[in-house]
Amino acid sequence: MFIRLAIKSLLDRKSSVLVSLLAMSVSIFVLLGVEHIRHQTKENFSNTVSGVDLIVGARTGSVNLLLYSVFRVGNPTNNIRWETYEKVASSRKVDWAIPISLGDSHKGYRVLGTSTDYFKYFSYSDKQLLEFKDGRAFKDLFDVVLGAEVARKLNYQLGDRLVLAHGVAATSFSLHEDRPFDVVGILRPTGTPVDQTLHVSLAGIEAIHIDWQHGVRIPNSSAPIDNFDDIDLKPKSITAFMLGLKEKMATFRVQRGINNYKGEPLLAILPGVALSELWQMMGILEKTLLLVSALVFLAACLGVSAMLLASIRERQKEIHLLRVIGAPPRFLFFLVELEAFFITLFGVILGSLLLMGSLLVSRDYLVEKFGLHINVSIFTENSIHMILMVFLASFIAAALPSFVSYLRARKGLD
Amino acid sequence: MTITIKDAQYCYPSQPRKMVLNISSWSVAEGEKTFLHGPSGGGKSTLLNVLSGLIQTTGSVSVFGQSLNEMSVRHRDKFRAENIGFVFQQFNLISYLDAIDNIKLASAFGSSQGGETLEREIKSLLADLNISVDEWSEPARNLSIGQQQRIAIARALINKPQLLIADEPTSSLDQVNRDIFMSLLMSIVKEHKITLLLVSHDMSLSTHFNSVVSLNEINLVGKQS
Repeated sequence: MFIRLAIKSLLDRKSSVLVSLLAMSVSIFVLLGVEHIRHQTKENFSNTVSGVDLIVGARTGSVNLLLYSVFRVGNPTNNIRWETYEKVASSRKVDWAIPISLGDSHKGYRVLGTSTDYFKYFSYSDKQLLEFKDGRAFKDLFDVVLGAEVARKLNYQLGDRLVLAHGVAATSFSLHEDRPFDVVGILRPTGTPVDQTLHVSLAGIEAIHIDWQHGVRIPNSSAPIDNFDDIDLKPKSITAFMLGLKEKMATFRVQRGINNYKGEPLLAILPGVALSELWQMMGILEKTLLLVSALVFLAACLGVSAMLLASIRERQKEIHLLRVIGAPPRFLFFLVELEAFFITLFGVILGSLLLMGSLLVSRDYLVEKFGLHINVSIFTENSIHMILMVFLASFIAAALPSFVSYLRARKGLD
Repeated sequence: MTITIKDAQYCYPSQPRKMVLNISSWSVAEGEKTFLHGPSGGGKSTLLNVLSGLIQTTGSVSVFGQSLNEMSVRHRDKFRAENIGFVFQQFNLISYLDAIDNIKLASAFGSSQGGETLEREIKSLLADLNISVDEWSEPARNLSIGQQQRIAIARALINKPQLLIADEPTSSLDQVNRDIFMSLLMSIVKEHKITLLLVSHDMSLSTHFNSVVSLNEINLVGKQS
């Protein structure tokens, strides 16, 4: 009966309650949204690379190296000579090495030149190796293996032919039209940037750039080459490489050795450490966003509190009637708290649905633009804690009007 | 005795020097139908609030032999819900609740059983008071004052009180509805053997009562002025 009374009382004040409910829903949308995206971004980034001991690139900032080599965000400052890669990879401390060559694209998706070791050793999430949904790894010069998202979005299947573009712009006019690639494999979804990547051999990358210089085809270059057997397709340089070491204990020694390499300026980073640096840099932004969303929520709470306080003034006769029929003052206190609880509850439901709807709508955009796989299900341990805090905060915010109602009931009709 | 008052004095906390009620001795016998009249601002509503335990006076106020001043707030609220029914001039009902919910709410504070028994009891009461079935589920604000008054009687009776207090219950009614209301009220009081205390300035109602009391006679504040 008390729940019914609270709900009907709220329905009786539809317009003011609706405004408070909308404010509460928007604030919960912002609060949960910031927390969810923050949490998912971290999880996404942390899951992207696993089991890699060192990432090596041309000397730059460690975060920059991590971003372009693993997350395909930004661009390298320089390349590494192939000889350097071979020298490091052949070290007896190194178990495996994966070369990475970036610079081309296909309809906005990055192309990664690498070796077949990529499919053998590269792992994501909790040391999970890449798996093929269809087909196999590249073998021939113009074979390409597609990430799950690329195949799905561009509707490619095994045997399809595609043309790579020079550079990473979404729309490119410098196409390698004369050397199309055949789709030979499609990877299973990983929830990482691998899904938005096309994988080709380093030799394939070299082959399509034979008569190219500085990003443009050399005019009047030789006739199209049909047979590459006699051509040396060993790359001259690569963008970066990943290392797996035989002994983890040797990581810092190998890192120091690479960083002090005399042949060319190199930087070796530990992915976990670079990620921590990235989180540190993002920390201020994260905290600012959380603070802003908390303030938005606080404003909504105060709005509900003010609405309830005003309603108590209007409901003086109702309070009197309830007292006359035997309602104790504490009942009036909890009635107002119950009303605040319902506004918060419906605010949480509405805000959550709004957030899930927005994530559903913007999911593809977030993947395409930022490579972020944001889960639509927002109910994690973190968000449930936050929702509980929201209820606690609304209880506290409603305490003032509830107490005023209690006092009025207690004072009688004076 | 249903009501016994001795040396009761009351001033509003906001005006501590201005006494509104000063009763040296007054009582209402069990089963009595008392008509209390007096001028506006004479302290009638204050007296009713004292009897319901909503405000406290000095001296002693007992209802059914139990001293209200010695009860805790919680005990007084429970005592009021279980033993005293109220009917007012207006604002008798929660405007956004229907008749059934208004009555259920009152029973929730008393000791009535809930569930189907309560629902049956409420419907039987409403039917006895000539409230048509269509009006049971209408929000109170959509009903006429007369209908609201009858629902208020049903609400007041749901916890089977031994004392019914009516504060100017007919003031908002026309003469026809006033007569219907009074005869209904009297028949219910008789049937349920309830002590009735009705406050009004309409002296024509006094014919229904076996005791007529002027507040000026019992309230020394009135006598002094």
